Amino acid sequence: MGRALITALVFFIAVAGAWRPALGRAGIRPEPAALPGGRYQAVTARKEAPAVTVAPYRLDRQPVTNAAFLAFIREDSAWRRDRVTALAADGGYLAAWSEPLALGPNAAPRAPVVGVSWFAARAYCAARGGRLPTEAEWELAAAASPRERDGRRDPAWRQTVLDWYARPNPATLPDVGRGRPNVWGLSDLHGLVWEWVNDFGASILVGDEARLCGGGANGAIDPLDYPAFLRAAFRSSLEGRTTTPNLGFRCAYDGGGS
Amino acid sequence: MKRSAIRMCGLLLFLLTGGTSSCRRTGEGRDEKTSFLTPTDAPAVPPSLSRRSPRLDVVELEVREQVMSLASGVEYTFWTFGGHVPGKFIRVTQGDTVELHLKNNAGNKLPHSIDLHAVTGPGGGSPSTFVAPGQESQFTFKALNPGLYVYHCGTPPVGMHVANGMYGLILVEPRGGLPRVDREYYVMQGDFYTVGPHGQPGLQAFDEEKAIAEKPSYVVFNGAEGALMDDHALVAEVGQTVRLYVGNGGPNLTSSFHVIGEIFDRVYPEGGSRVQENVQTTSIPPGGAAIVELKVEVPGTYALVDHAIFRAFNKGALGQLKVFGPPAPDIYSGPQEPRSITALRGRP
Amino acid sequence: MTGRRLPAVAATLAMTLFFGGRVARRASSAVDPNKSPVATTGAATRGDDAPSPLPAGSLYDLGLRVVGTDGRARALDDLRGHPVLASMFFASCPTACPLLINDLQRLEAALPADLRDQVRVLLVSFDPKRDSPAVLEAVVGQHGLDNRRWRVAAAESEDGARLLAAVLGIRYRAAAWGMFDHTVRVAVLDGAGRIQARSGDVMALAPALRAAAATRN
Repeated sequence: MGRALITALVFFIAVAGAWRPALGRAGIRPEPAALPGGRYQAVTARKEAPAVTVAPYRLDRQPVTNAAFLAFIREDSAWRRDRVTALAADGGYLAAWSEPLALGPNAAPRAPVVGVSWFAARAYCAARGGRLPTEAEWELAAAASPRERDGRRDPAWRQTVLDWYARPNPATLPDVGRGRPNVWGLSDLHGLVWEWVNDFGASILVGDEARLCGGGANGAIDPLDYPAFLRAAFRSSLEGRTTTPNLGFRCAYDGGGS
Repeated sequence: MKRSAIRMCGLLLFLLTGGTSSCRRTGEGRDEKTSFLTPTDAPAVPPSLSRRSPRLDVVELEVREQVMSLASGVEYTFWTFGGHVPGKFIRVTQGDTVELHLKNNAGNKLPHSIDLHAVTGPGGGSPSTFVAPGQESQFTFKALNPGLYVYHCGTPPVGMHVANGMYGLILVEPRGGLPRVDREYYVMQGDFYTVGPHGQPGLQAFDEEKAIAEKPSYVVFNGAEGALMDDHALVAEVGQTVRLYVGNGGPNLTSSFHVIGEIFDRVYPEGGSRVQENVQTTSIPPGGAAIVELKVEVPGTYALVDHAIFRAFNKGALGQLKVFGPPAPDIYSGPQEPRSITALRGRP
Repeated sequence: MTGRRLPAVAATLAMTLFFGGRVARRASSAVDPNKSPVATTGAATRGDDAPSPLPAGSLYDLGLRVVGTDGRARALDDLRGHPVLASMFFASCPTACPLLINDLQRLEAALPADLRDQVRVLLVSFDPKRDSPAVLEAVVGQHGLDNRRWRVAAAESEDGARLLAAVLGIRYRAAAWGMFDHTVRVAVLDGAGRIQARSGDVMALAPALRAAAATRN
């Protein structure tokens, strides 16, 4: 009787393991989280600037890992470090990897992939049937804390978000998924790496070349939105081919649950 | 509503593009000599120049975000021009053309830029030098005006970048150079805002609310409590003339700069060209600077302070100038045994 | 099966299911090039029926299509072999974009005649919703642009606009009343579609344009 029970248990675990790969091994990701969308107003916009309405969407629960990106490159060799074009990426592309097709000691399989350009990130997400999130989708997801949909009014949570900017980059990045997920089940939107959005080019800092035909804004920053403002400044510094050692991404997908 | 917005936009654009639509090429085909500058970390100052003809000065600054000591037992993630606070001291001559390279170390988190108050041009160079981690930017400007100028990061949120230590000084000497002195030093005051109270040990984070309320936890010279104390004090010898290039990075507080026991024989207030003489305490606003000169006559230790005095003794705005040499009892006696005034008066 | 053997067999079966399931999933997520909305860059992905492979890093590798004044969506390949001035705009732009077009015309006029005949100007709107073929036709008419050399079109989709903008280094953000805040930059492409120079100062691009014309292929 006991043996049968053990056998049944082993079978159950095996079946569960085969059908719910949430144990986070390399190359396999849990299903993305569903978000309802909503209204989004960028921090740098004036009051009369249009708020964006975001349709329901899905978002990867964690940033794309080194292992997952390696698997993608094995499928589409055009994105190998020694084959990519100068149009698509700069000299820092996958610089932390030891070889074009090997991670090496400085890029743990479950750590977020960094040193990827916008073009490379888009190609990965397209290959997975998705796309990069928009700024609106990303920021709506990131406003949530582990307890609330909008955690920005919680000073303690806000400070943990700001603390990341006070810390220097670690020598090697830790694995994804170690922090507490927010109410949507998303981890690592704060505290790990910067993440690409599809419309990074919508972030413009007033400069020599900017034409403010929409009457841009330079007013006081709402202290609640300081990290969002830092993110806007960071996105403004990027080009499509830019790679940095702490810039990664996750994918979004059209349509979602509630 | 829409039409007036378009009109305003049109007017704004007319003003904006009026200057930039004409093509001006700079930096090509010059026959000035080229100098490769080696800016220095505080309190050192690059050697004095006495140039008669303009040059092309090439200078490179690298932004590095790194954890360093703010006070004993207290660490802070500083954002720096060149690895220290304040940033490197740049020295050029009026009329020079300066080609400035700004590198953003690949290990940094944030984008950065530089706004030099010596620059005549939009943003002081900031929009032209905005750079992501791992990248390099460059722009060139002509140093039209002499003076001692602050430079700082111009990337929004500017207050946070400045509060984390991104400021330094650039000296534009008049042609022929400033008069020679015996010692030159670089001192820069700054206020810091930490989540923990003054003195709380460990790695401290930037406190945005304290910064907005202008309630600093630390007010220090050269980026840390004790940066100019004891073994790190400034030194001079009796009879020497000491020139201090004093800047104030802020972000918020004005410095009431004073050296206890000394008088500034000459001050270039606000880092400008006029000279004031015989000054005890000079005001240096955030984003401003002053040049002070003093001839030291009596040996001893002289405290540099912000004379808003609680900052000096409770927040760290305290430094030292140590003067060595023979005593000068006729200028300063030291402690004396009191003698009787009555007896003095009674004498015929 | 005897009772003693059962657990061992069960364990083996379990392991097979466990790891087998994983292998199957990895295989099924292999990339399907037909699915991706935009072709990947790099000559390595082009099929055998593609035109002669381009040097790496060409704008024409991206598979971008734009909708012209005739309402038809076309790829950019017919610009191959020509030096190109490429930029982006939106038709409702009050001053900056008309100024850009003026500057491009000035640059064109300043070129020697044989170079001018070779040069093509590609002006793509990042506002495909509002900038219909009729609106674009009006822009062409207002400025008297030569249809043989000027290609005024709108991106086929908003994502296509973002893609082209990222390549050309142009930033834009939707503001109120259908306006956009945007940067102004013009790129010089050589005959193979490789970017040779980018600048906000249009007149400064003349040397790069001459160099682009000089390089064959």
